[in-house]
Amino acid sequence: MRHSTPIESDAALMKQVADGNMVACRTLAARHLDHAYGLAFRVIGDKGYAEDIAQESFLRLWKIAPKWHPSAQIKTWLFRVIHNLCIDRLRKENRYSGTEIPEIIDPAPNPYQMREAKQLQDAVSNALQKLPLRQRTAITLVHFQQCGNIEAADIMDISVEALESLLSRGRRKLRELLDSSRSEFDGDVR
Amino acid sequence: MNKDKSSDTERLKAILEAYGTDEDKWSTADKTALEAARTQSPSLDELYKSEKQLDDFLAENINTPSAPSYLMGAILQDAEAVLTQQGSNIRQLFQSFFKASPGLILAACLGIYLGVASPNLWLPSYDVNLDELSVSDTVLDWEFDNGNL
Repeated sequence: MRHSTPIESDAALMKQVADGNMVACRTLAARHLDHAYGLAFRVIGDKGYAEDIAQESFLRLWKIAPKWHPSAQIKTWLFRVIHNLCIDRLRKENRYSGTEIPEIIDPAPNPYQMREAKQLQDAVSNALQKLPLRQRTAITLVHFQQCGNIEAADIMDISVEALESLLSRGRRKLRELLDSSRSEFDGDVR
Repeated sequence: MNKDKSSDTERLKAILEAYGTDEDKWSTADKTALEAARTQSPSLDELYKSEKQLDDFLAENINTPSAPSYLMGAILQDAEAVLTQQGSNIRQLFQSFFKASPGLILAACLGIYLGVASPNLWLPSYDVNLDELSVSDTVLDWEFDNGNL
Protein backbone atom coordinates (compact mmCIF):
# COMPACT_ATOMS: atom_id res chain seq x y z
CA MET A 1 0.00 0.00 0.00
CA ARG A 2 1.37 3.38 -1.00
CA HIS A 3 1.55 6.05 1.69
CA SER A 4 0.38 9.45 0.57
CA THR A 5 2.96 12.21 0.46
CA PRO A 6 2.51 15.31 2.66
CA ILE A 7 1.44 17.25 -0.44
CA GLU A 8 -1.22 14.67 -1.32
CA SER A 9 -2.38 14.53 2.28
CA ASP A 10 -2.55 18.34 2.41
CA ALA A 11 -4.51 18.48 -0.85
CA ALA A 12 -6.99 15.88 0.42
CA LEU A 13 -7.47 17.78 3.68
CA MET A 14 -7.91 21.09 1.91
CA LYS A 15 -10.55 19.57 -0.33
CA GLN A 16 -12.42 18.45 2.77
CA VAL A 17 -12.03 21.93 4.26
CA ALA A 18 -13.45 23.44 1.07
CA ASP A 19 -16.40 21.05 1.44
CA GLY A 20 -17.02 22.49 4.90
CA ASN A 21 -15.60 19.60 6.93
CA MET A 22 -14.74 20.96 10.39
CA VAL A 23 -12.89 17.77 11.36
CA ALA A 24 -10.44 18.46 8.53
CA CYS A 25 -10.02 22.02 9.83
CA ARG A 26 -9.24 20.71 13.29
CA THR A 27 -6.75 18.17 11.91
CA LEU A 28 -4.97 20.84 9.90
CA ALA A 29 -4.86 23.29 12.77
CA ALA A 30 -3.56 20.64 15.16
CA ARG A 31 -0.88 19.65 12.67
CA HIS A 32 0.41 23.13 11.86
CA LEU A 33 -0.58 25.56 14.59
CA ASP A 34 2.42 25.08 16.89
CA HIS A 35 4.86 25.47 13.99
CA ALA A 36 3.03 28.53 12.70
CA TYR A 37 2.86 30.16 16.11
CA GLY A 38 6.48 29.19 16.86
CA LEU A 39 7.75 30.83 13.70
CA ALA A 40 5.70 33.98 14.26
CA PHE A 41 6.81 34.21 17.89
CA ARG A 42 10.49 33.75 17.12
CA VAL A 43 10.45 36.25 14.28
CA ILE A 44 8.26 38.91 15.87
CA GLY A 45 9.28 38.32 19.50
CA ASP A 46 5.88 39.14 20.96
CA LYS A 47 3.27 36.61 22.08
CA GLY A 48 0.27 38.80 21.32
CA TYR A 49 1.40 39.68 17.82
CA ALA A 50 2.45 36.08 17.19
CA GLU A 51 -1.06 34.93 18.09
CA ASP A 52 -2.61 37.53 15.79
CA ILE A 53 -0.33 36.56 12.94
CA ALA A 54 -0.91 32.82 13.39
CA GLN A 55 -4.67 33.38 13.51
CA GLU A 56 -4.59 35.60 10.41
CA SER A 57 -2.52 33.06 8.48
CA PHE A 58 -5.05 30.30 9.24
CA LEU A 59 -7.93 32.60 8.33
CA ARG A 60 -6.31 33.07 4.92
CA LEU A 61 -5.85 29.32 4.66
CA TRP A 62 -9.57 28.67 5.21
CA LYS A 63 -10.48 31.32 2.66
CA ILE A 64 -8.19 29.92 0.00
CA ALA A 65 -9.34 26.30 0.53
CA PRO A 66 -11.73 26.19 -2.46
CA LYS A 67 -8.94 27.41 -4.74
CA TRP A 68 -6.16 25.33 -3.18
CA HIS A 69 -3.53 24.20 -5.67
CA PRO A 70 -2.93 20.45 -5.21
CA SER A 71 0.83 20.81 -5.68
CA ALA A 72 1.27 23.21 -2.75
CA GLN A 73 2.37 22.26 0.74
CA ILE A 74 0.42 23.79 3.61
CA LYS A 75 3.42 24.24 5.91
CA THR A 76 5.41 26.11 3.27
CA TRP A 77 2.38 28.19 2.32
CA LEU A 78 1.66 29.08 5.95
CA PHE A 79 5.29 29.93 6.67
CA ARG A 80 5.43 32.24 3.65
CA VAL A 81 2.25 34.05 4.76
CA ILE A 82 3.59 34.33 8.31
CA HIS A 83 6.92 35.64 7.07
CA ASN A 84 5.15 38.35 5.05
CA LEU A 85 2.78 39.22 7.90
CA CYS A 86 5.73 39.56 10.27
CA ILE A 87 7.48 41.93 7.85
CA ASP A 88 4.26 43.96 7.52
CA ARG A 89 3.93 44.15 11.29
CA LEU A 90 7.55 45.17 11.80
CA ARG A 91 7.24 47.79 9.05
CA LYS A 92 4.24 49.28 10.81
CA GLU A 93 6.32 49.57 13.93
CA ASN A 94 9.34 50.85 12.01
CA ARG A 95 11.27 47.86 13.26
CA TYR A 96 11.97 46.49 9.81
CA SER A 97 14.60 47.51 7.35
CA GLY A 98 15.43 45.60 4.18
CA THR A 99 19.09 46.26 4.85
CA GLU A 100 21.07 44.88 7.73
CA ILE A 101 20.39 46.67 10.96
CA PRO A 102 23.06 47.32 13.54
CA GLU A 103 23.10 45.31 16.70
CA ILE A 104 20.85 46.63 19.40
CA ILE A 105 22.50 47.13 22.72
CA ASP A 106 20.34 45.28 25.16
CA PRO A 107 19.73 47.05 28.44
CA ALA A 108 18.49 43.76 29.94
CA PRO A 109 20.66 41.93 32.45
CA ASN A 110 23.54 39.88 31.15
CA PRO A 111 21.95 36.57 30.04
CA TYR A 112 24.65 34.42 31.58
CA GLN A 113 23.97 35.89 34.96
CA MET A 114 20.76 33.95 34.83
CA ARG A 115 21.56 30.37 35.57
CA GLU A 116 18.19 28.78 35.83
CA ALA A 117 17.05 26.80 32.81
CA LYS A 118 14.06 29.02 32.14
CA GLN A 119 16.20 32.09 32.32
CA LEU A 120 18.70 30.57 29.94
CA GLN A 121 15.93 29.88 27.48
CA ASP A 122 14.87 33.48 27.73
CA ALA A 123 18.46 34.55 27.22
CA VAL A 124 18.72 32.54 24.02
CA SER A 125 15.39 33.91 22.85
CA ASN A 126 16.60 37.44 23.61
CA ALA A 127 19.82 36.85 21.70
CA LEU A 128 17.79 35.57 18.79
CA GLN A 129 15.62 38.67 18.89
CA LYS A 130 18.70 40.86 18.62
CA LEU A 131 19.58 39.40 15.23
CA PRO A 132 18.50 41.29 12.13
CA LEU A 133 15.11 40.06 10.91
CA ARG A 134 16.33 38.17 7.86
CA GLN A 135 19.06 36.36 9.77
CA ARG A 136 16.61 35.56 12.56
CA THR A 137 14.06 34.21 10.09
CA ALA A 138 16.65 32.11 8.27
CA ILE A 139 17.95 30.58 11.51
CA THR A 140 14.44 29.98 12.81
CA LEU A 141 13.32 28.24 9.65
CA VAL A 142 16.39 26.05 9.19
CA HIS A 143 17.43 25.32 12.76
CA PHE A 144 14.19 25.47 14.74
CA GLN A 145 11.43 24.70 12.23
CA GLN A 146 13.40 21.97 10.47
CA CYS A 147 12.89 23.40 6.99
CA GLY A 148 15.20 22.25 4.22
CA ASN A 149 17.39 24.90 2.62
CA ILE A 150 15.37 24.99 -0.61
CA GLU A 151 12.09 25.27 1.28
CA ALA A 152 13.43 28.01 3.57
CA ALA A 153 14.83 29.96 0.62
CA ASP A 154 11.46 29.60 -1.11
CA ILE A 155 9.60 30.89 1.94
CA MET A 156 11.90 33.89 2.20
CA ASP A 157 11.84 34.39 -1.56
CA ILE A 158 15.64 34.37 -1.82
CA SER A 159 18.25 32.09 -3.38
CA VAL A 160 19.82 29.19 -1.46
CA GLU A 161 23.17 31.03 -1.63
CA ALA A 162 21.62 34.11 -0.03
CA LEU A 163 20.05 31.89 2.62
CA GLU A 164 23.41 30.31 3.42
CA SER A 165 24.97 33.73 3.73
CA LEU A 166 22.23 34.81 6.15
CA LEU A 167 22.66 31.60 8.14
CA SER A 168 26.43 32.03 8.43
CA ARG A 169 26.19 35.64 9.52
CA GLY A 170 23.30 34.87 11.83
CA ARG A 171 25.09 32.04 13.57
CA ARG A 172 28.22 34.13 13.91
CA LYS A 173 26.32 37.02 15.43
CA LEU A 174 24.35 34.69 17.70
CA ARG A 175 27.57 33.19 18.92
CA GLU A 176 28.98 36.65 19.62
CA LEU A 177 25.88 37.57 21.59
CA LEU A 178 26.03 34.39 23.64
CA ASP A 179 29.78 34.61 23.90
CA SER A 180 29.83 38.08 25.42
CA SER A 181 29.77 36.77 28.95
CA ARG A 182 30.60 33.11 28.53
CA SER A 183 33.00 33.14 31.42
CA GLU A 184 30.03 33.39 33.73
CA PHE A 185 28.32 30.44 32.25
CA ASP A 186 29.05 26.75 32.75
CA GLY A 187 29.91 25.00 29.51
CA ASP A 188 31.26 27.90 27.57
CA VAL A 189 29.99 28.74 24.17
CA ARG A 190 33.01 29.65 22.21
CA MET B 1 45.65 18.67 -5.89
CA ASN B 2 46.41 20.92 -2.97
CA LYS B 3 44.18 23.59 -4.44
CA ASP B 4 41.32 21.09 -4.76
CA LYS B 5 41.74 20.00 -1.19
CA SER B 6 41.84 23.58 -0.06
CA SER B 7 38.69 24.53 -1.95
CA ASP B 8 36.99 21.41 -0.59
CA THR B 9 37.91 22.42 2.95
CA GLU B 10 36.62 25.94 2.34
CA ARG B 11 33.33 24.53 1.07
CA LEU B 12 32.99 22.30 4.14
CA LYS B 13 33.74 25.28 6.35
CA ALA B 14 31.06 27.30 4.59
CA ILE B 15 28.53 24.49 5.07
CA LEU B 16 29.50 24.17 8.74
CA GLU B 17 29.10 27.87 9.32
CA ALA B 18 25.72 27.96 7.62
CA TYR B 19 24.06 24.73 8.74
CA GLY B 20 26.04 23.79 11.84
CA THR B 21 26.76 20.19 12.77
CA ASP B 22 23.25 18.75 12.57
CA GLU B 23 23.82 15.66 10.45
CA ASP B 24 20.28 15.77 9.07
CA LYS B 25 21.19 18.92 7.21
CA TRP B 26 24.24 17.37 5.59
CA SER B 27 24.29 15.17 2.52
CA THR B 28 25.88 11.73 2.93
CA ALA B 29 28.73 12.69 0.60
CA ASP B 30 29.49 15.89 2.52
CA LYS B 31 29.33 14.05 5.84
CA THR B 32 31.91 11.53 4.63
CA ALA B 33 34.07 14.32 3.23
CA LEU B 34 33.86 16.22 6.50
CA GLU B 35 34.91 13.22 8.57
CA ALA B 36 37.94 12.69 6.36
CA ALA B 37 38.85 16.37 6.17
CA ARG B 38 38.64 16.91 9.92
CA THR B 39 41.54 14.53 10.53
CA GLN B 40 43.71 16.43 8.07
CA SER B 41 42.71 20.01 8.79
CA PRO B 42 43.07 21.21 12.39
CA SER B 43 41.28 24.48 11.57
CA LEU B 44 38.29 22.59 10.19
CA ASP B 45 38.25 20.33 13.24
CA GLU B 46 38.36 23.35 15.51
CA LEU B 47 35.52 24.99 13.61
CA TYR B 48 33.50 21.78 13.84
CA LYS B 49 33.94 21.63 17.63
CA SER B 50 33.02 25.27 17.97
CA GLU B 51 29.87 24.90 15.84
CA LYS B 52 28.94 21.74 17.72
CA GLN B 53 29.21 23.61 20.99
CA LEU B 54 26.85 26.29 19.71
CA ASP B 55 24.40 23.72 18.36
CA ASP B 56 24.40 21.78 21.64
CA PHE B 57 23.91 24.95 23.62
CA LEU B 58 21.00 26.06 21.46
CA ALA B 59 19.41 22.60 21.51
CA GLU B 60 19.58 22.56 25.30
CA ASN B 61 18.36 26.04 25.88
CA ILE B 62 16.01 26.99 23.11
CA ASN B 63 12.42 26.90 24.20
CA THR B 64 9.84 25.56 21.81
CA PRO B 65 6.87 27.87 21.98
CA SER B 66 3.54 26.13 21.78
CA ALA B 67 0.37 27.89 20.81
CA PRO B 68 -2.09 28.61 23.63
CA SER B 69 -5.25 26.51 23.56
CA TYR B 70 -7.52 29.52 23.12
CA LEU B 71 -5.75 30.27 19.85
CA MET B 72 -6.82 26.89 18.53
CA GLY B 73 -10.39 27.74 19.57
CA ALA B 74 -10.23 31.12 17.80
CA ILE B 75 -8.84 29.56 14.64
CA LEU B 76 -11.56 26.92 14.52
CA GLN B 77 -14.18 29.60 15.14
CA ASP B 78 -12.79 31.52 12.15
CA ALA B 79 -12.93 28.34 10.08
CA GLU B 80 -16.56 27.78 10.97
CA ALA B 81 -17.45 31.38 10.12
CA VAL B 82 -15.61 31.28 6.78
CA LEU B 83 -17.00 27.90 5.76
CA THR B 84 -20.53 28.86 6.79
CA GLN B 85 -20.20 32.06 4.78
CA GLN B 86 -18.90 30.16 1.75
CA GLY B 87 -21.76 27.66 2.09
CA SER B 88 -24.32 30.44 2.39
CA ASN B 89 -22.92 32.09 -0.76
CA ILE B 90 -23.62 28.93 -2.71
CA ARG B 91 -27.04 28.66 -1.08
CA GLN B 92 -27.79 32.28 -1.99
CA LEU B 93 -26.88 31.55 -5.60
CA PHE B 94 -29.31 28.60 -5.68
CA GLN B 95 -31.98 30.56 -3.83
CA SER B 96 -31.83 33.46 -6.26
CA PHE B 97 -32.08 31.00 -9.13
CA PHE B 98 -35.09 29.27 -7.60
CA LYS B 99 -36.77 32.61 -6.87
CA ALA B 100 -36.54 33.54 -10.52
CA SER B 101 -37.42 30.07 -11.80
CA PRO B 102 -41.28 30.39 -11.85
CA GLY B 103 -41.01 33.42 -14.11
CA LEU B 104 -38.49 31.66 -16.31
CA ILE B 105 -40.67 28.56 -16.57
CA LEU B 106 -43.77 30.66 -17.41
CA ALA B 107 -41.84 32.54 -20.09
CA ALA B 108 -40.60 29.26 -21.56
CA CYS B 109 -44.14 27.78 -21.65
CA LEU B 110 -45.51 30.92 -23.29
CA GLY B 111 -42.75 30.79 -25.88
CA ILE B 112 -43.51 27.17 -26.71
CA TYR B 113 -47.25 27.86 -26.96
CA LEU B 114 -46.72 30.84 -29.25
CA GLY B 115 -44.35 28.82 -31.39
CA VAL B 116 -46.90 26.03 -31.83
CA ALA B 117 -49.98 28.20 -32.25
CA SER B 118 -48.56 31.14 -34.18
CA PRO B 119 -49.55 29.98 -37.77
CA ASN B 120 -53.15 29.75 -36.65
CA LEU B 121 -52.89 33.08 -34.89
CA TRP B 122 -51.64 35.04 -37.86
CA LEU B 123 -52.99 33.20 -40.92
CA PRO B 124 -56.70 32.70 -41.78
CA SER B 125 -57.82 29.11 -41.46
CA TYR B 126 -59.97 28.96 -44.65
CA ASP B 127 -58.79 26.77 -47.51
CA VAL B 128 -56.80 28.51 -50.14
CA ASN B 129 -58.03 27.94 -53.75
CA LEU B 130 -55.13 27.08 -55.89
CA ASP B 131 -55.22 28.02 -59.53
CA GLU B 132 -54.33 25.59 -62.23
CA LEU B 133 -50.97 27.11 -62.79
CA SER B 134 -49.91 26.25 -59.33
CA VAL B 135 -50.94 22.59 -59.66
CA SER B 136 -49.74 22.01 -63.23
CA ASP B 137 -46.48 20.24 -63.64
CA THR B 138 -44.95 22.71 -66.07
CA VAL B 139 -45.88 25.80 -67.99
CA LEU B 140 -45.85 23.67 -71.15
CA ASP B 141 -48.53 21.36 -69.71
CA TRP B 142 -50.64 24.37 -68.85
CA GLU B 143 -50.31 25.80 -72.33
CA PHE B 144 -51.15 22.40 -73.79
CA ASP B 145 -54.25 22.13 -71.64
CA ASN B 146 -55.39 25.51 -72.88
CA GLY B 147 -55.02 24.42 -76.47
CA ASN B 148 -52.23 26.75 -77.25
CA LEU B 149 -49.91 24.02 -78.22
